[in-house]
Amino acid sequence: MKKTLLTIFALLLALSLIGCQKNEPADEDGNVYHIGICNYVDHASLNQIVDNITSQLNALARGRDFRFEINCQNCNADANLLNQIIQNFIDQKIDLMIGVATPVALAMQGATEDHPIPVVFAAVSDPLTYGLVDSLDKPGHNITGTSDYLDTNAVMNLILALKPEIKKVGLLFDFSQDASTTAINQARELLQGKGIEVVEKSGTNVSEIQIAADALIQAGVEAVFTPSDNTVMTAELSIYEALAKAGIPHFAGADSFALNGAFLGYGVDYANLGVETANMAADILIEHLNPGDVAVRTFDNGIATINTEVCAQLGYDFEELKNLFAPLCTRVTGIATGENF
Amino acid sequence: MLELRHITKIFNPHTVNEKIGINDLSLTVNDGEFITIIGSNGSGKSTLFNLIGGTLISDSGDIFLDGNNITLQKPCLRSRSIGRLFQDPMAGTAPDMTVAENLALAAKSGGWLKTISRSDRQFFRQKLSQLEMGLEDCLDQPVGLLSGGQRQALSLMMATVNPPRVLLLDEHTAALDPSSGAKVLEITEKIVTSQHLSCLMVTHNMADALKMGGRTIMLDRGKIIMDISGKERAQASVSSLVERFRSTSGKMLDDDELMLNN
Amino acid sequence: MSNLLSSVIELGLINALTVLALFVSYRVLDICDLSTDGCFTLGGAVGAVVAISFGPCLSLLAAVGAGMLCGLVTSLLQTKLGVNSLLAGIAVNTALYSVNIAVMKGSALINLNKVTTVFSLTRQALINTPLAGCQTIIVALITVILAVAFLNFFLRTRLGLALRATGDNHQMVENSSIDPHRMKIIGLIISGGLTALSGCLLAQSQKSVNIDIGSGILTVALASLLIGRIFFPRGKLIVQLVGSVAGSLLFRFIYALALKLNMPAYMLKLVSSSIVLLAISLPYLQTQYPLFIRRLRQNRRA
Repeated sequence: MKKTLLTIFALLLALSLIGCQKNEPADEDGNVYHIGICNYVDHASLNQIVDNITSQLNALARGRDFRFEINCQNCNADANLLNQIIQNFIDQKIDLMIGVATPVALAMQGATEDHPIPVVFAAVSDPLTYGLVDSLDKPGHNITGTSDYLDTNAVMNLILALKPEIKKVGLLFDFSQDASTTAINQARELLQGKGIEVVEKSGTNVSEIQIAADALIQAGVEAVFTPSDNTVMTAELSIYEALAKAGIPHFAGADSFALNGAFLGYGVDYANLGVETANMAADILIEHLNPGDVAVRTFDNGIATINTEVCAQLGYDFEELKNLFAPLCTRVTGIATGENF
Repeated sequence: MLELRHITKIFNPHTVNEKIGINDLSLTVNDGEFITIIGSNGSGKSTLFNLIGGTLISDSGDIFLDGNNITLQKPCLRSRSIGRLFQDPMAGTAPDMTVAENLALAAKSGGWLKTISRSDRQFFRQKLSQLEMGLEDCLDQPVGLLSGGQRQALSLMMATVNPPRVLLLDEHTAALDPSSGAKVLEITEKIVTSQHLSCLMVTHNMADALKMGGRTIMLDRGKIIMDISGKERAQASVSSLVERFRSTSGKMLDDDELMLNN
Repeated sequence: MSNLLSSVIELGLINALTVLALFVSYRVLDICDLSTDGCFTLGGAVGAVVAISFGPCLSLLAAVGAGMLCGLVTSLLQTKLGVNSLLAGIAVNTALYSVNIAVMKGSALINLNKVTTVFSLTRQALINTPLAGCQTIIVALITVILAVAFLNFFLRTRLGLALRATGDNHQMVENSSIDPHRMKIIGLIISGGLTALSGCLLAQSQKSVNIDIGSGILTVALASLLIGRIFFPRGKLIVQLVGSVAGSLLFRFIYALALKLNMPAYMLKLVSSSIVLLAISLPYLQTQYPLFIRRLRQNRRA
């Protein structure tokens, strides 16, 4: 019994050494393209992106002589699960991977170092700083995608337009979210440059964000800014009431925040971002493009979405605000509180 | 030389469960003396050994070993000079480790990072053959597979491979069958006399108590009520001991185990 | 399939270090040390931070050092403060959450994408050799072999024997000249160091470390240890050590089989633990089967 077990293990070891040699890229199975999508965490914006990617891919394939087999997964912010999912994709000889949000894109980058599978990321705020691409015009490797880069300056102007005499602003974010780091640094610089006191509180999960939000309320800030931070987004439904009750408007970097109760969400149209991501993926597969040559797509992020209920609770008139913000945005819309779009 | 001076140990003092373990006991054990200790259950025999060995610390009084005050010393430090054997043959050896490994632990030869060498094994084999129990052929067997008598004999060998200053034997043959027990007693006598060890042996067998060693002590309720040696001891018999007990403690010696064993 | 196999063996070997750590703390010393998850993450966090600034080899040493410190603290809580071993492990594990985030400078995630790791170094060295591309398996294999060799030597020295005796018969050791507290401290230091090394290697191999990297590793390692014990129940020390490593590989293999069944990613843990339970209970059921049949026959006759 022992000898057989030992021989089995020796065989497994030998097989694996053979197996870890460089893999050849998979051949397309006739007219079927296998796409693996991995979402980072369950929240309104990211879900919206994934829904739009899948619907657009299906729309593109309708009536054509090819189709897309989509394997959709969600790693629920568990990095170990994320690696497992990506390994599974690679093992299933997927033709292209779509990673929603920066942590997923980074993990896919690492995993495809030895297996050159095309990767298209969606909603990565700053692909350049995080080394996902060599340049926005020519990514250079097997990774490209769409970016929801946020113009922090524009949001600061909105805050100042609402409260010109503001003295203290709170910054609420997750230190480890790559989406937040650059934006928070920019916000801090801008605000301090104008002589406004900045209070920063961060947390790594929902409970810590709740504590951080409470701390900001205690510190007496007059407004709170959050970039397109996934962790704060998952916590928004649990903190918006406290912030509204304290009379503190919460400005955030995506419309889904407003959906979940933040005062104002400012950023890209994520539905459109999803569609464009699908287009990019389809082009790469069908036209056999090299992802390294496909430029990263950024979007006009000037759409402001105001939560009408919180707006009323804070004592503002929606129509007045619309006029106030109009010159600073591409578009101002209102939305009622909800969980998903 | 082991000296106990006015040792007292009370369990759960000032509570409803208060029990006197040892009551102002003084005892001197000279070098090479073999003392047998008898007494009914609850008389304090195990408590006495625990106090000497360090498992329990006395409430008052002092214990001196070769002039050093060891009253408050930790058991692991005392164990270098005090060897101990228990009634439970499983207590003195590690069952998942082999005979050789157990002996190596006890022998303590070489530094902490030394493994068992061939010369060590030769030494163990030679020592074990003195026991005449066949253990020298079981060097690589896990101790858990040995019989009770073999384990107790091994424990005895482990306790004496580096001769201790005092050897405490707490009814170490009581849990063995008669023939193993007799064999272990025989080995005990052989080792103690050949190495001139000071030895304290608790036994329930009054005949053995009078036969072995040179001095017999009887405990009752934490005090020494009888201490005989020399001619007085040679002339004593079991029934005279029983009578002696009644007259000193004021009650009948009605401990079943003690009576039925004789 | 063979890509999955190689990732099974890579992960199995990296986790095997934690299994060996548990071999020392659980099987030899009979201590239930619940700080394993936090210690594993500590190794990853310290390793990542040091790798970024000081290179991969120093990062391995730093991780081992941090793990040994963690083991020291856990053991001191038990020996000097008399804290129950389960509670001590839980307390240290909870505290390590904050410590780990502090080590990662307030972040829950560090990326090692552009950082030199032992794996990238090995990969460079192996280019143009027949083993090119196998750097992960080779590094993991070498580390496991070194760990096994160390434990095989150490547990047969006098100190190692004293450690084994402490776990085997506590009463005997209490009445011997071996200090059981000191043994506990030494044992937990070794086990902590191995766990942290395991965490550091995992972080370097997956090029990132996050605060949850160690979550659940204690369960995985214990299951691997038990699986190894079933197939290699007794025998010389070296056989038991190799058996523990084999258990880790087997567990990962079972986990990979679960992956093959197409199901949502979050169901993986349920399926893999079911398969593990089945694997562990099979030998027991095998022994019970004859008795079961006899009872059945007897009832039928009656």
